[in-house]
Amino acid sequence: MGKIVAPAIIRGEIITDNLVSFGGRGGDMEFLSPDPMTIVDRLPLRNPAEMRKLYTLTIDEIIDFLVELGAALDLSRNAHMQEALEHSYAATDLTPSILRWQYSLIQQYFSREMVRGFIDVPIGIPFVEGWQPVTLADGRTASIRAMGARCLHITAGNSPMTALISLARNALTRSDAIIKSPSNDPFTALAVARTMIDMAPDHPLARHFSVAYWKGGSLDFEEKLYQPKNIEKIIAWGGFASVKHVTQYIQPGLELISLDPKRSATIIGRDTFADEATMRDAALRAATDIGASNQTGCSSARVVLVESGTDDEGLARLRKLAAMTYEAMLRLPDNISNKPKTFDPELRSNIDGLRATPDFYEVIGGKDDEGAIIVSKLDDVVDFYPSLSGRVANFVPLDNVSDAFRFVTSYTQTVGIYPEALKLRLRDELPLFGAQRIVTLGYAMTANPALPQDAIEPLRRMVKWIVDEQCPEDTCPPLWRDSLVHA
Amino acid sequence: MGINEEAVRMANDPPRFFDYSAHNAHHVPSADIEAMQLAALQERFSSLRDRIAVLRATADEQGITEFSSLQDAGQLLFPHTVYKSYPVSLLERNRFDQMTKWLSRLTTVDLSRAEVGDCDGIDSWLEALENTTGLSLTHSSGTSGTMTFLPRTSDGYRIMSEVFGMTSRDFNGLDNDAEARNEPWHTFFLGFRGGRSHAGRAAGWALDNFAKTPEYLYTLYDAEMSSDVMFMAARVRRAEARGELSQLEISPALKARQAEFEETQRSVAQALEQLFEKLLSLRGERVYIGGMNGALVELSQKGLGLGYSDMFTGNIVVQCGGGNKGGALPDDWEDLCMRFTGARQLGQYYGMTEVSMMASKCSEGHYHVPPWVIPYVLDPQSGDLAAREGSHTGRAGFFDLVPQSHWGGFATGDEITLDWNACPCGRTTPHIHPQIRRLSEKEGGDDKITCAAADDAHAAALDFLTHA
Repeated sequence: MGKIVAPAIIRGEIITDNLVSFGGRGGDMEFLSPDPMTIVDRLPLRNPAEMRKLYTLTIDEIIDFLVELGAALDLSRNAHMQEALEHSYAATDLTPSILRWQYSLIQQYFSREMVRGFIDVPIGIPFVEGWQPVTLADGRTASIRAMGARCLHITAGNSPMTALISLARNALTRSDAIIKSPSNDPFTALAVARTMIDMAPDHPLARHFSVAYWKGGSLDFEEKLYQPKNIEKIIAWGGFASVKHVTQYIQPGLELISLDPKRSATIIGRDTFADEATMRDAALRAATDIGASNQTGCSSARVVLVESGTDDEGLARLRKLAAMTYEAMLRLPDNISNKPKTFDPELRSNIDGLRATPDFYEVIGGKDDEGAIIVSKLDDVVDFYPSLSGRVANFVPLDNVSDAFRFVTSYTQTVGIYPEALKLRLRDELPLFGAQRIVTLGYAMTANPALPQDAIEPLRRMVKWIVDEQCPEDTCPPLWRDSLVHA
Repeated sequence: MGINEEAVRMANDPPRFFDYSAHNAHHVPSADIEAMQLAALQERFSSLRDRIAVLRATADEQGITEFSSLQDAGQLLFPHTVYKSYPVSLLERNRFDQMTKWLSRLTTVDLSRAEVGDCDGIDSWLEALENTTGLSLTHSSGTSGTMTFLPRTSDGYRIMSEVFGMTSRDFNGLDNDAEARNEPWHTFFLGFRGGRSHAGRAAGWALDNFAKTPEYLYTLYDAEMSSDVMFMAARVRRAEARGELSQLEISPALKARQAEFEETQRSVAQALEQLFEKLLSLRGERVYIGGMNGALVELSQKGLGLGYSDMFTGNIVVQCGGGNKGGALPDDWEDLCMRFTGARQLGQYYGMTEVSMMASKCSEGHYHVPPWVIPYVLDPQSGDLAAREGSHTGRAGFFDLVPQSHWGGFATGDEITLDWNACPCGRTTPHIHPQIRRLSEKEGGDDKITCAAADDAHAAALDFLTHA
């Protein structure tokens, strides 16, 4: 009794039939949601012509709607959002104050200027609003338009913003979205969909935003839904296993846009050690990149590569910076970082193992699962670096900043760099090894969805690029003419 | 003899103490076991506390000066990560002087005279340590990407082998069988002939306890498992999982052994055929089969297909594990193997590189922990110890009383259910329920393959090395 219900919402209709129980992550939270097999036939948009209504809206009307929706999502007066927040505490890996803070950011994300940027920066509004002519060297003119597609969004649950970004991208491209909610955030997308229904149940944007939960890996269900006749594109966020799993459904006519698992790094150059104040500045910024949202983001800093030198003096410098960073991390504002909700026991075992190895490692903090800085005394990362979480970072000494390239791979998303001048030196090199986003230290966790993500432009991939070619015979000689055939 | 002397005698040499009978070991009244365990534990702590640097540091930090109960030792279990807490780059860069330094904090053996400066790989390092210090490492298969190195001495291996022999006999109904103990068995080991990994050493135990002489031992691979290749296997798996394969480099020392690896690979296909012919020729003889499940299934399918079944009824011990050659075994694989060989059961064990035990599965499906190993269950989050009664699920911990040169207290990465209630099989020892999993899987999964699949991982690495 009293179990939380996460309905499915299909094209504006709230469905609470055939409820079955699902376990949240960690097994400590359960919710009821419609049996996925009972809704699988209703989820896809069978008749693509229904998307015609999306084209009765101008982009300004779509932006107006999103801005109005953003205002309506205000936590202080939106009962759906309040309920979602309340229910999410048990499901999420975030602590309550951080989750509340992330919910409070929604309005900022949905300001008119921000929303306009989401579409105008990556695609350019003229291309979604109408046909843009180009003249080509062979004499033809063509018109190009970016049109919407039927998309499945497999969203990540480490931040509720994922659901909001998916919503905005869907609306601005005039697409049809099925949101597959994650088990660690089954409620946010639903609250947004319900708010839209309250605002305007028949609005085309509300009618093309469906939300459901099924357990990733439910083969019977997925094989039915993940078909080119139902959806054209899958936008998959998430971990290695879940993205790898989705790839089995990819076939001609069904495209994968993969926002796959990423890790991020930090590079701190030698000029940081010029004086105490500069060190403190770098430490606060590094602490922010590590600690913000308790290191749950793919852009959270985990490995911090420091051009401190690897001799005794260098290690002393490194240790000092690491200690400053640890102190700064503990002092971060409570709404962006605090003692993590859970701590991976295997990571704790690994850290305890290092405490027994003082010749090669020093561990600053971590005794209370509050977060820790592992200082490597050799120029190498800890072997378990992919599992660094719960505000645990590994500081690694380097003699030369170019040694950092060894640790950059195609899995490296964000690289936070300090000082700023070093960024200009490294930005042509780092992408060769795989780095995808280079950012001022301290800003790793404040991304803007208008920009490319994981080295692709998701919006440009989400739309269908349609061309209409005009070929006047006089300027564009046709194939059927004899003179050309024999020429 | 007083309890203390008795206890030390048991801890120093359990096979001898129990007259090489696992039946004896598993039928001591539990109160007697606990008294002996506590006495042995106290002896180990007082003798090792100031001679193992990591133990001293940990005990000092926790202010532990003596043990008054078995639970006290539960506070001093090393996390399983301690034996792999070295920087992996030391192995990649052949910094075996530093590896030796790392190891010196974990053993009482004096490593200051180790001559490891010229070592160009793990095989040569381990050999040099054996030759110059007497320390003989065993290592894990490195399936998680990092190898665990456990600093044993030769006496530890003799005991491990004897434990294997007595346990294998008891759990196959041969405890009092003088013939089983003394006569040679035709021994098929479906894996490598030897090596310094836990898996590689298993062939040697089969040789010691069943084949008795090399003439009776038939292995699938006529080669030792190379620790360097196993490390490479670990790196390949890890790099694949992390998208770092393009950065993986094969050391010149390994490259130089290319021809040797290619030869090993060539011989495998023939070897399985030869083993099959040999099996057929031994119908009705006394036969032991160990090693990889996958190879045994292949042999059984082939045999049944040709109309052979119940080949060795009454004179057959089969205890294989893991090693599925990358593919899943058929659902009825156990039945297939039993029908072909005539075995009435397939021996199953729970064990690990770090502990001198083979916890064997009894008729009730429980893995029994022998008296020289003290089992614990810890809360995975808080580390709190469960009471030593009833049944509890959590992180497995063990105190292995056998080692005299390293600390036997060890907290694993496994989740087990440990049961102190009497087992209907009649054994007095605590037992572990069959559902065992890695805690890291529970936390969200990893790509752990079982230790017994080490042969497969090794074979896969050979493939990588010969085709890269």
